[in-house]
Amino acid sequence: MSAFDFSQQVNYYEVLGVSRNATPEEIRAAYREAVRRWHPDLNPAPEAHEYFLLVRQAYEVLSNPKKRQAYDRTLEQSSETSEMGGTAPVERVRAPQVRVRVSYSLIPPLEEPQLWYAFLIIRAPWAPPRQPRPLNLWLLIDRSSSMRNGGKLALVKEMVAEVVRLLRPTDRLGMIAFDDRPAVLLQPTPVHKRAIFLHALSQVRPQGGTEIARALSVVESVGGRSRGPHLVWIFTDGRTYGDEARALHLARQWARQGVICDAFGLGEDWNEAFLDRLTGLTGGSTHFISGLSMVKTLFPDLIRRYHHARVRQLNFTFDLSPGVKLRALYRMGPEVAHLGVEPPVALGVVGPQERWLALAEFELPPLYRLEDGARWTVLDGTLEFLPFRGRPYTEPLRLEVHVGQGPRSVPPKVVRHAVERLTWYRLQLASRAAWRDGRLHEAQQYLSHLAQSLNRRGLGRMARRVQQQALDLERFQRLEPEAEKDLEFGTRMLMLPADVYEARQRGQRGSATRSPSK
Amino acid sequence: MLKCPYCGHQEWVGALFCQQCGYPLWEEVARAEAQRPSPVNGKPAAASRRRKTAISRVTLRLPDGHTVTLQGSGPWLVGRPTATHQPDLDAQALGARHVSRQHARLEWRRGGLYIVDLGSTNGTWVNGRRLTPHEPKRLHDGDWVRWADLEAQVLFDAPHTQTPSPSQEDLAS
Ligand SMILES: [Zn+2]
Repeated sequence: MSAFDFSQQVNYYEVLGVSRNATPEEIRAAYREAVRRWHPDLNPAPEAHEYFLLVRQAYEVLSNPKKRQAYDRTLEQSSETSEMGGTAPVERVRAPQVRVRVSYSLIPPLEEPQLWYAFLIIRAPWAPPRQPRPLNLWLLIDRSSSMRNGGKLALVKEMVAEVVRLLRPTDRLGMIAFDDRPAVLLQPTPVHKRAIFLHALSQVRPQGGTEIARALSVVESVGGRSRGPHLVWIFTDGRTYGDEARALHLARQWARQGVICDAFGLGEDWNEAFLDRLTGLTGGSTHFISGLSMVKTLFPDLIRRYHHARVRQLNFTFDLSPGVKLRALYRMGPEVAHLGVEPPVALGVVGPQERWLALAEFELPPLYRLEDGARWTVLDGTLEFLPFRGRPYTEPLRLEVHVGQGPRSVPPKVVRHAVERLTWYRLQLASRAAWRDGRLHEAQQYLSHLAQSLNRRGLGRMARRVQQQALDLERFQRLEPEAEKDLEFGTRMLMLPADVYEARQRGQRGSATRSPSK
Repeated sequence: MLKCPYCGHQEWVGALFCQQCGYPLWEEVARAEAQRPSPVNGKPAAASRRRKTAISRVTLRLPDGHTVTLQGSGPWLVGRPTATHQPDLDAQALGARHVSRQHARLEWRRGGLYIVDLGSTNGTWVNGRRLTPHEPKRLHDGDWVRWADLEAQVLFDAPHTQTPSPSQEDLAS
């Protein structure tokens, strides 16, 4: 991977947002505008400083006739070599950094199968956010009759208002309200007239049941090759019945077109397992909305990431060696998601200066037939970075082990950390499954073990909540849906990087006092 | 297969944590590795390092039969959590209400496990006798310790090897 080279990356005209034949006056005006926007004293964004330097560099070249002439010549040369026939300029995606840490790099040749973990870290190439990308966002709003309860519809209206507030005039927003049947409230419309969205939403009256697939199939003008991400956000409080397969089929199609679907669940009765699969197939994620302040920490993160996404989608295709099984693939940053395991897997997007993190859990077959010291390939694959324009950029990714008798190394800390969090998540899943099966004592055991493990890692607050649920389980012989959501999303959030976790925790805590779901 | 030393659950080789109780199995594997005979001289591979790495586990058994294993090599603070500080043994999570924030400390010293009361409000007892604050007391396997309203039996299987005495070396070989 080569060192970062600015001049290969950015076009000074694009940096200032002027055309190739801009007059010196236009360039000066654009420069002043850019300075106002990117001066580190005025813009707290972490990338502002670097971008500001770039703005100055661009102005230095373009404001000087001699330098500008020389620069124009280099542009002509590079466009001759890189233009791929189309009229749109090719966006170059610089080689990203891909790192892999594995649980053990030396695997003993055993007659029994083994577990093996790989932790993937992908850092997006540093991308100056020239202009935020225009988003194409469809909101799918559940208006089934249950939304009437507990002020959920009021919360949804607040959520939409927050989305509208965060979007930019160049973004397009469409809205669909759905119950058993979907109704388009508003075709995708540029967001410069904010009031119309809130007006359209005020027409929504709760009625009927929740049927997601129909609503998904109404979403139009999705995909294609526009300049920005295509997103579908589902706001729901319910369960969809009987149309899951159709909905998942649509999700797979969308994933191929680079459409990303995220879901936001309200209240306690929505089906997170289904929405998790649906969103996971597209590289999106599912969130539990406990109140408005949760929204205020989460939505800015998400929208900022999509605005500044370097690629439309990251895809992962791979072959597994005979006998290998990919048991699970969990994305642990920037958002937690239970991704698919059938290639091609949509991995989602990563914002500037963010790391994409995931834990893969493999089953390896008996390897006793291999000779000592042999190299053995677990997975042979390709990461595909799907840009908004131009050709996909691909990066090979091969996971290998050495087979042999030798001292067992200590797994790297990042791998231990990730697997421990996955184990916690699974302990609560096991507890809930045991409870549903009527194995009450077992359910309780899982929870107290989980509480103990959390305590050992200094997560006392979460440990106490889990311990309380174990006690309630003993006392009332049941787990409330509320408690289940708390366990599910409490342990899920622990998979996030520590700083993101802290920020989200503050958002959650803030909303605990004003939760509408009562 | 691997057997979890904490709950007995069977796990596949390569598992890092027990899926039934969350126990860090990789630590067990690393510990066994440190004691594996080296192919060169038949002595444990990490004999010289072992004094630092071999840590005998300290387990607390609560009156209701639940057990809590203290992680790492200590010292361990027993107390109530505060906004900024998390004790190693969170008495509040175990249901105690009268344990002080910094109640007592457990630690390995000169090959023995010691407990010291940190000037707690409601006191620390060992086998029914109240400790003088700030005066370390050596514990024996199976002692009952009470920190205010939290009581537990302290269990530790092997003597610590920080400064092994000859008899301990004999036991090990
Ligand atoms: Zn176990």
